[in-house]
Parts: sequence; C-alpha cells; structure tokens
Amino acid sequence: MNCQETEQLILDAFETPLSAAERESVDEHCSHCSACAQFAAAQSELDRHLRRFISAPPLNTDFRNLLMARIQQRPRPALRALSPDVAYGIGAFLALIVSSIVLPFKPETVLTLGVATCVAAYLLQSFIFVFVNEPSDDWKS
Amino acid sequence: MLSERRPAPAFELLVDRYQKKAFRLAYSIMGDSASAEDVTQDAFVKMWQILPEYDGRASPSTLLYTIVRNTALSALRAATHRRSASLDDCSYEVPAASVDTAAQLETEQLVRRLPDAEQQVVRLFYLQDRKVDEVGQMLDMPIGTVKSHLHRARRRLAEWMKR
Repeated sequence: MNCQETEQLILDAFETPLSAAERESVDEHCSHCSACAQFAAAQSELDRHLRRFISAPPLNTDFRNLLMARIQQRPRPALRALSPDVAYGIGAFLALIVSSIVLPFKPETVLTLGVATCVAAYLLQSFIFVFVNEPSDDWKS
Repeated sequence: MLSERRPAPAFELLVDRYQKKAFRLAYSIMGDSASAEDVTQDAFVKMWQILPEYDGRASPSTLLYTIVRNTALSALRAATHRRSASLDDCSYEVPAASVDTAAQLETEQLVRRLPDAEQQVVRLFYLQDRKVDEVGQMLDMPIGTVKSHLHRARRRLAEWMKR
C-alpha cells in the first residue's frame, strides 16, 4: 500500500471503522513511513479538537410553544387549502349538467342519482385520504 | 375534508422529532443561535403552510431540510446585503465562560477559513454525531461529496494547525 492509499484510509477511518485488514495495512505502513505516521497523528489531534469544540448551543426551551403560537396566528392560506375541494365541486357540477342534457333519462333522475354519487365519492375519497392513504408518515414511528 | 388530510397532531410530531436537527442545520449555515432559531421557526411555518400540497413523494424530513436550507441561505444573503459586512459580523458564537476559550476560538477561526461548503459539512458532521449519511441528507449532497469535502477540509485544517 502506498502513501496516498494510506492517507485515504486514515481519513476514511474518522467516518466509518476500518476492517481489521485495512487497519493492519495502515499500521504496517505507518510503522516504516514517518510522513504517514505524522499525518495520522495530526488527523487524530484535529479530530479531538473538532469533536470538543464544535457544538451547537441548546435550542430555546420555549421554541415549540412560540412556533405553535405563530402557527395559530397564521393559518394556512384558505384558498390554497380548499383548492382540492373546490376543484372537485366544480368538476362534479359540470359533469351533472352535461349528464342531465346528454343522457336519455329524465333530468331530475340524472341529477338526483348524480348528486348522490358525487357525495358518496367525496366521502369515500376523504376516508381513503384520512385513514388509508396517509403519505410517508415516517415521523410518526 | 380532503384538504385537511394533514392533521395538526402529525405536524406536532414532525416538530418534536426534527426541531433539534433543523436547528443544527440552520446553525451550521447561519452561525449564531438567534438567527438559526428564527430561520428554524420560519421554516416550520412554511412547512405548515405547504402541507396541504404535500404529496408524500419526498420524506417529510427531506422536505423540511430543503426548506431550512433555502430559508437560511436567503436570510444569510439578506443579512449580507443589509450590513456592509466584515468577516467579524458573521462570526460563530463561542461560549463565554469556557476554560478552553482560547483553543476554541483558534479552532473556530481555522474552521471559518474553510470554503462555505466545507465549513457546513465539517460543522454538521460533528453536530450530527459524525453521521455522514445524515449530513448528506441535510445538505442534499451525495455521500461521496460529503466525504470529499470532509477529507479536503481535514487536510487543510491539519496543515493550518501545524503552523
């Protein structure tokens, strides 16, 4: 193993543990290469420094309460939040009008059955969204 | 009812689970706790507002980290424009009553000399318990890129420490 490969393994070791064979190769190389031995020592010293001195200050203990207060003051944009329902309503309304004109049945019958079907479909989709199709809830685990 | 498919309890769980990580990410970019906290708050508010449109294709954490990064970078740009910035304006906080203050300051100054991307990677690597995959997810970088930033930064820092 040459010096370049040895330095690479020395740097890798700070992220993932080396295998026994890799560790042995590094030790063997460093035992007769003072430059690589110095490199390993300098990197270990640097790692100790960084571990010791890089730290984030604690998050304000009131952070969550402040955030929830902000959210209550600033509700989601109503139009954007309601857009799926509005789109569904407009689509259903247009479909009912066209169906009552085109289909060879009494318009009252078509409208009654159409409204009933739309309500049932809406409730079914809502049920699926809320209880079945909850997307990617990996924060709940 | 369709539009209410992201219930508030799920959002609260998201806050509980990711507030510290989001704060660390903001801190690694902003460099001071007050600005980092503001950025984290803003990011969670934005997350709350876009949740009705969330389609579940990306994980919530990925989406949150993207919002935190973009919010922090915008705040940083705005702050840079506001000030006639000197390097001292964006210095990282150092706890006042530490016995190692001098050594910490010296380390901090060395880290600050690194290019921005390397600084962020080095800080997050140590703030996130040395987990390369988490750093990659938080900064939206492939693991190989995180490692090469880390290695370059380590070589530079060790060289500077020798002098």
